[in-house]
Amino acid sequence: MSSKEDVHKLVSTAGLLLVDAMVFHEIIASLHKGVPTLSMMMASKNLKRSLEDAWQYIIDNINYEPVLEIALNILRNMPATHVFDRELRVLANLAYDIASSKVLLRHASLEGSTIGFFWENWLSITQPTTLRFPLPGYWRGF
Amino acid sequence: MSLREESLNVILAELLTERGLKALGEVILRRKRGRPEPDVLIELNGVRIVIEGKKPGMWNALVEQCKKRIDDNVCDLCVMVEYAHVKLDKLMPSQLDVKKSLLNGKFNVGFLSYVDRAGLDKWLGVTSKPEKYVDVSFDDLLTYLMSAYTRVVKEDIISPVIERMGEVLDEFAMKVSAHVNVERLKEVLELKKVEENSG
Repeated sequence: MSSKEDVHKLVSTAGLLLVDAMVFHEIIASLHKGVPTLSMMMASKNLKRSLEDAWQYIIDNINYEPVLEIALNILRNMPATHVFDRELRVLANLAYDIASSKVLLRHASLEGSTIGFFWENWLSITQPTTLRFPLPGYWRGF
Repeated sequence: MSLREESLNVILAELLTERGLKALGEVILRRKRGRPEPDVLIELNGVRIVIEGKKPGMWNALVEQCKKRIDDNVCDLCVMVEYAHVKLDKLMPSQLDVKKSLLNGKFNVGFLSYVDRAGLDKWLGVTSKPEKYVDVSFDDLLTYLMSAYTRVVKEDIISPVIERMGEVLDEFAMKVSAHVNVERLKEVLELKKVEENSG
């Protein structure tokens, strides 16, 4: 059985992976006309659906499967509720702020390893070493 | 006699290096090799400093040029210099003449660092503006440059971002946890296999 604390960490981890995928998404959108920007998607009524469609489109037509597939799976396993949509928008705003700073992106993403960088820093603040979740799949490579 | 800005920039960088920056640590001076590169790049203890100098009246162009240098990751600190009063009397000035003129000249200077361009106002609520100082001497320019370098070295731009990420993710987990199927999420995050292997 999972303790409340474990569930909290699990969902935080999922949230972090979603934020990173959104940062990636914003960079991909700046390079490919067919991919809507985060701002465009946030204007839609159903952000969850918009992200799912966009990430599936990127995986099928462009690439970045190792990065986006896990985020897409997380999203698909999340409930389609009003609460989740609202919280997803908060994550999208955070991703937007990170992606809009070229200097912050220097630590990161397509050029290298934001995920690993932010992951390590965030973990060091929020989780004691002994209780850390391992990074899933591809992300461990960063 | 007017000298090309490029030459003034390179000689100014040499003077700044000789007259003060060396005191702060290891300095490497790199001159332009290709077209897109700046005229001169100073590496001071690993911090890359570019000097962009122009004739008076070109301040806005300098600011834009410096923003581009920082955003393109060419440097960490960009020094904007308007050669406000640099007089060269000789028709064919030697390098020594140019150095003397720069040492006795007056400049409008400004500094733009990656800290300014990180958009920390979003994370800290503090708006940063590029600094500008008008009609300063060479010694003042050197002093301002040294203090700008010190600020760049000290400033931590990542902590506020990490802190905000922590808050947002904490809130996200608190609000969403009750609605999530934990076992399914574990599978997605590939934690089931880890648990089975370790347990």
